[in-house]
Amino acid sequence: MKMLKKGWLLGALAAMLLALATACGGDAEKGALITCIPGWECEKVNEKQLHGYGLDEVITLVNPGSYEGLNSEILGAFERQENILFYYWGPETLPAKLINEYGGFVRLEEPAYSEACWDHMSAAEEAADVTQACQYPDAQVLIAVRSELLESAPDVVEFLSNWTLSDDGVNALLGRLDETGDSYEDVAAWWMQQSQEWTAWVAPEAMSNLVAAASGAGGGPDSSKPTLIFSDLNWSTALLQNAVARIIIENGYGYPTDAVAGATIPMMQALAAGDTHISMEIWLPNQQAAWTEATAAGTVTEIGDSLASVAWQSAFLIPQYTADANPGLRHVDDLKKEEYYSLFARPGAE
Amino acid sequence: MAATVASRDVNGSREGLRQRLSALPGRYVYGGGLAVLLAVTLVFLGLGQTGVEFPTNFFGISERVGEPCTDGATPDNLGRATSECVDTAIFWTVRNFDFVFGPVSDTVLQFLLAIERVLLWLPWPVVIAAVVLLSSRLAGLRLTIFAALTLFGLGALGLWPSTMETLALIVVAVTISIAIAIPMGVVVARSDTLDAMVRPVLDAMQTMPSFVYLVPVVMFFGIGNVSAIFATVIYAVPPAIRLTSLGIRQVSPGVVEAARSFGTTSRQLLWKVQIPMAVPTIMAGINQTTMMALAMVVIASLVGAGGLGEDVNRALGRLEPGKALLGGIGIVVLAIIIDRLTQAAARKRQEALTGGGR
Repeated sequence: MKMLKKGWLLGALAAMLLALATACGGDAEKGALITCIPGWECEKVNEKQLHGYGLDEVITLVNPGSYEGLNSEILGAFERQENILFYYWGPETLPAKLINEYGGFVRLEEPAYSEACWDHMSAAEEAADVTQACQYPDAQVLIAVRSELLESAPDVVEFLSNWTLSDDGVNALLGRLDETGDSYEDVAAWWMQQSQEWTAWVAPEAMSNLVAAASGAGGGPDSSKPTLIFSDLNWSTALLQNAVARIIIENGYGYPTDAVAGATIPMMQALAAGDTHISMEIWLPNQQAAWTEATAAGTVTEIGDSLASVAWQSAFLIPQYTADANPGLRHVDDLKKEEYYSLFARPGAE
Repeated sequence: MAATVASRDVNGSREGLRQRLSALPGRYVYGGGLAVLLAVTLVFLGLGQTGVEFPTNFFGISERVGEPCTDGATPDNLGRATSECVDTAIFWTVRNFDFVFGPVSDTVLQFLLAIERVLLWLPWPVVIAAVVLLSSRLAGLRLTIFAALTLFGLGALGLWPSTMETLALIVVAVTISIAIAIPMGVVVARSDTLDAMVRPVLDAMQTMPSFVYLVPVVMFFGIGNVSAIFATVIYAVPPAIRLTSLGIRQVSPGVVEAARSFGTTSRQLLWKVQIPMAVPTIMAGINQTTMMALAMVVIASLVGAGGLGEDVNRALGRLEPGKALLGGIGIVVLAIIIDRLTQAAARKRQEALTGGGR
């Protein structure tokens, strides 16, 4: 009985403390920005931009935890037609899905990129040291091969240096993948029937081989030629590009192909070490450090752009429906107004 | 007359068959089974030349399953039809049940924030002193010294705020787990049918890879601590349910009968006899639930939960194993202290029940 009384007393004390804490906690509602994945470089950049734009008083960064977390948070908000301010990059699966099925999104205008501003932001240790900020530079996506391929497979190198996949091509491939759930190979084969885009990259005799293979007359890899190993990077555009390139190289140029799968940095090291021969997507400047290291020994060569459109990333994306409902919200500075930052308020974001 | 004979015959022959089968030496049964297996394998090997496909669309089942879930072409295999239907159901729930998830999410969040604020507001010497007090009452000198030193160490390593955040997360997750587990355990203990139904569900909850439910949970509750708490509860609640049920079932029939003979109602029997007698076992369940919740801390950080898990997650993303190790040590220390304290509490209770040690 004595025990019981003590328990009640403790419980009441705890309840009072909790009630007090709940009452004290209600600070002004800030807007939330779903930021980059923890540990990635963009996490720091976004923090610096927020401070540099003078937005850290009214917007807080919300950590999505992981790639999966970021994707499901954004998709959930679009499903509910909720206002959301988020970071993303492209071309990628999620933006393609948002454009195809959810009416798309708008990138808020930011101060234009300049090298001076970017260097200033990069040099700052802490976000608080940033006095001037600007948007991300547009990224470049390169195709890289092992240098020995220049000698051992010059026709393939020629073909890959002609390669640049258009925006329409990327969207068609990603859209088909999402819609049907087919394998990367099936989606690639489907796209090659739909689009003529790739025919411009292929040499005439390889083209006739491909036509022959398509009609079932011969074609296919020639076992006397060296096997070319692709880097199967762990995101959809890279895997789709690999699938298209492998079909063309096997049936048009007659080289057997294979692929090794892995994450970004290990794949870069595999290319430098000769475990793989072709990487269809090297993202710069995101992978700059690893890329500089990989090319230092001269075993890896850049042979051209992979994607026709520049790759982008931004921490200030809003859904199209939010933009439509708020015509005054177009520039990051507009977020300083309460009517706009409060659109993105969320409980518990401190 | 004829009917009786026939029915007796059926019974007789079934019984007879069973007897004859059990009388057969085991090796004949296994030998026969192996022969059948061999024959089937040979048939399939023979067919294998022409390719044996798994029937993924027997009797048009895929179209029938997939039809309500897809707008356009219905998939012609069962796997895709099923997964499309699950997707459709999840997205539909996300769109239409926000009025449920929103308030639930807000309530849990306020609860968590209150605990977190209290823990972070209390000066660290007070928190350490409270743990010391508790462990000296419950566990003894060794744990008390260990707890004081390691907690102080965590603070000195700069992990104090993260540790308190994680502690708040664990407290909320375990509280919700207990609120679900004890009533569930009581109900399951009273019905064998229900027990048989619930058991595979609990098995699934414990073995299903957490990533599978992490993504839908985020769609329902949004990124952050609330999703983390629900994912943790899914993983951590089964042992508390199992052990509550076990504890109640283990109360000796003699005691129950004695209570009944004094004319207890079933409510009195439950509250005054079964639950008090089961407390040590229930405590063991809560202890396991807490340990499993701590094991989920890093996974929870993948949906944006703060605390030590986030430290580990971020450090690994930046390839800083040293920092990750510090976060990991924080989780281990927290686990050891909570584990020893709850075990000691259960032991005290056990001693009080059996009358030993006093």
